[in-house]
Amino acid sequence: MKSFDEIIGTIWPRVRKRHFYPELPVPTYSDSTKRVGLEIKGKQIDISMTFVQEMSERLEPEVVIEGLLDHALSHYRFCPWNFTTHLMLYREAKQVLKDKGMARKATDCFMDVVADTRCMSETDTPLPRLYRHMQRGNLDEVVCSLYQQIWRRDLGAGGHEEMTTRLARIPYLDRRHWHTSIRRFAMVIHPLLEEEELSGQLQQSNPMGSHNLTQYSVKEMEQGLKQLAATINNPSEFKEIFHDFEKEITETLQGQGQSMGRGRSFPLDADTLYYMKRAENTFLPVRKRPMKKSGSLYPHQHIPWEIGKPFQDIDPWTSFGIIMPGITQMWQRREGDVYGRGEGTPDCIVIIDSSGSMANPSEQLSFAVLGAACACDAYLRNDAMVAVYNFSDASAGDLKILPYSNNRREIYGALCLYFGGGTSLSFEEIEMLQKQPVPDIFLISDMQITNPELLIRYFSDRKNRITAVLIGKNKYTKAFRHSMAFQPNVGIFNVEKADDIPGIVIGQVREYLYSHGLSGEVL
Amino acid sequence: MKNPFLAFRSVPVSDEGNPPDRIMADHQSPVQQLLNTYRNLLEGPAKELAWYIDHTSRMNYYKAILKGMEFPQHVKNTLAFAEKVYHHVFEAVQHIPYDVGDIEDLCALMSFSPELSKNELRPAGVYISALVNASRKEHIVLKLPILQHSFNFLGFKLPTGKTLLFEGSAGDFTGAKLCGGFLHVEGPARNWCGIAMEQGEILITKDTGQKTGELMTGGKISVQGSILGIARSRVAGEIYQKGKPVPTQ
Repeated sequence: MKSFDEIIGTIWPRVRKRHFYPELPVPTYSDSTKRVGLEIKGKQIDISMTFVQEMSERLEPEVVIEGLLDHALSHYRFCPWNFTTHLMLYREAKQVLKDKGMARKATDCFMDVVADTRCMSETDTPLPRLYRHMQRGNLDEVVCSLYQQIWRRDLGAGGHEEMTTRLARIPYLDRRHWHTSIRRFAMVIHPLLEEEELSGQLQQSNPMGSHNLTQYSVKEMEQGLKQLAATINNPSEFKEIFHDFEKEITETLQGQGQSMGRGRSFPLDADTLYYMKRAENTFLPVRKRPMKKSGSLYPHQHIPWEIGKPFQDIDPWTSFGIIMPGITQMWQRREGDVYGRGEGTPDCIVIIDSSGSMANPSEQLSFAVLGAACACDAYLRNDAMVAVYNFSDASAGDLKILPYSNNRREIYGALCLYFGGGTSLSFEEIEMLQKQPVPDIFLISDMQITNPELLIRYFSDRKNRITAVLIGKNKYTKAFRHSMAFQPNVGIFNVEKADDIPGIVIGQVREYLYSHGLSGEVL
Repeated sequence: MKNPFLAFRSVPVSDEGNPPDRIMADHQSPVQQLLNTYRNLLEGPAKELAWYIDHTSRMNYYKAILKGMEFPQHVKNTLAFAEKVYHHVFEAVQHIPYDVGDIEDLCALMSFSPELSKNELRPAGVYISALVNASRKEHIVLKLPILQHSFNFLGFKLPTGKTLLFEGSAGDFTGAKLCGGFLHVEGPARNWCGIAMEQGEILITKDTGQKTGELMTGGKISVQGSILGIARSRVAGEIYQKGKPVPTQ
């Protein structure tokens, strides 16, 4: 019998060619005792030799390995293709089946059917031979019957004609209809999934291998979560999907490059992740601080040296060693223009209202948290730091202060905290966050505050650039807007729906500031 | 010189075509045609029916009175509109070569598709009933146990000699104006079950809602679960709950 490396050496180039040379590493093998044929982790295909040996009683090992590779590459190339599609399919199945285990199994089966059928319709693959000789459970038998019907090959499967006929009507290869196709697929196989759940077989993987989320790269996962957050308007639904895959997502996002060493791990919070990913979809512009003179001189251009001009500015290299007025060259120096610290973007104090009148970010999409998250993202992208002042009834202790930080997880965690009590601001703590150079202030609230006059006075006295985002329209927001109308350093925006958030421009007040003769000053 | 793109030539396919592609093309076409017909219907007569179903199914007396009608008249108007839509559909689908599987696919597609809103799906049951009644098959099975929306008017005007077995949750007006057929619902039905039925039989294996048997003039309704409310304006016909006859109130 040939060794695995010899077999792979012959088969792998052939399979790669068939699948248009996907950029995947050479498959490896393991002596796993699981009944599954292969596993993919971080793009690495790992073939189970136990499975190959079991199957080699009925088929040549080359055929088994080639079939498994065709299956794996078809998944990589067509379905699910990426993490986003995988989550989308799971989400649709879950909405029909309402059960994590059943939804995962249905998603796995659907992806197998799509990938294998695609492979069959495009290439000359040994997959039918593999399926014909595979050990099958009840659900596998139905899937094989389905293959038999749509591939028109004899796979030795039988029974469940009615169910198979229904399944065969689903347009698997039409990517545009996958949303509805997986729902129909899940609906039809639901009785079988219930049977498997009762007999305890639901947790068993498909014979060709289950679809673990660890097969995706960190980048793919981050992109997928970002897209999922953008499509879901309900944080609790995001949380539900996240919790269903928490282990795998956490393993991938946190396990990179931390195989050795010490250090506490940070548990991923679903709410934090939702708002973090959702904020990444919205880019808020931050007006940068103006250029200012640096105070230092730098050599700008050559001019002829004349008597009386300083010797130290003579450039010997362009003067050919000659000291003669009109011929000798000297450097003319100019003062340089530079940005302020942090490339023109100051640090920011985010003041967020989490009182009872505001939406709870865990239960529904909170515009306040989303707006604040977008603002934080904008500052962090500009290499500035953010301090968070999350308050409800600050005098009663419902207050969370996060000192200046650039750790996204800490910042979003502080934003997502919800107190749900009364609303009162404590200015001593805000004052403690003030520093030089003067930071920006980003306030987001519905303005139903018990001490609004103190807030207005505080903002009037300060020189910070203040961006106030008012949630909803009520008499309090109107009063605040009225009081701040002539305040040059305050910019006010109203947010009533999620689409209003991208309209916020942080630091837009600069226009007023500089028209009032404050140009050039460090804010 | 060797062509570097040689490996990327189009893949050879047999003359018969790809089996999956062929299956897809075979059944996609009628389903798509049926869906387009329904969309056209929504632009026309079904629009008003959707309004009537909405208000009648919520038993919104107040709005009915505002429209200057007594409530029973409002219900009768709903049925009249349903009949108008039904006849319109019956004519429109004659030339479409659909089979029973296509009806089931259409139901699933309409229920799961995000393109159709809840309001647009209100008259869908009349459309499905017309498809069932216009089909040449006498015994029709629709297995749709986990649908996102339940369809109203299932089994509308089901004629003598036809049997419809529906597995799933039926909506309002199930078996309305039944004309002698046998409607078997494996699951519950909502309000107005068997409204204005003339003859035939309805079997509901779970519960029914309010106004069961309203304006009924003949036939038999058997409910194996509980009945939330029996109609007061029943003219004739029989209603059985768990095998026992229910008297007229």
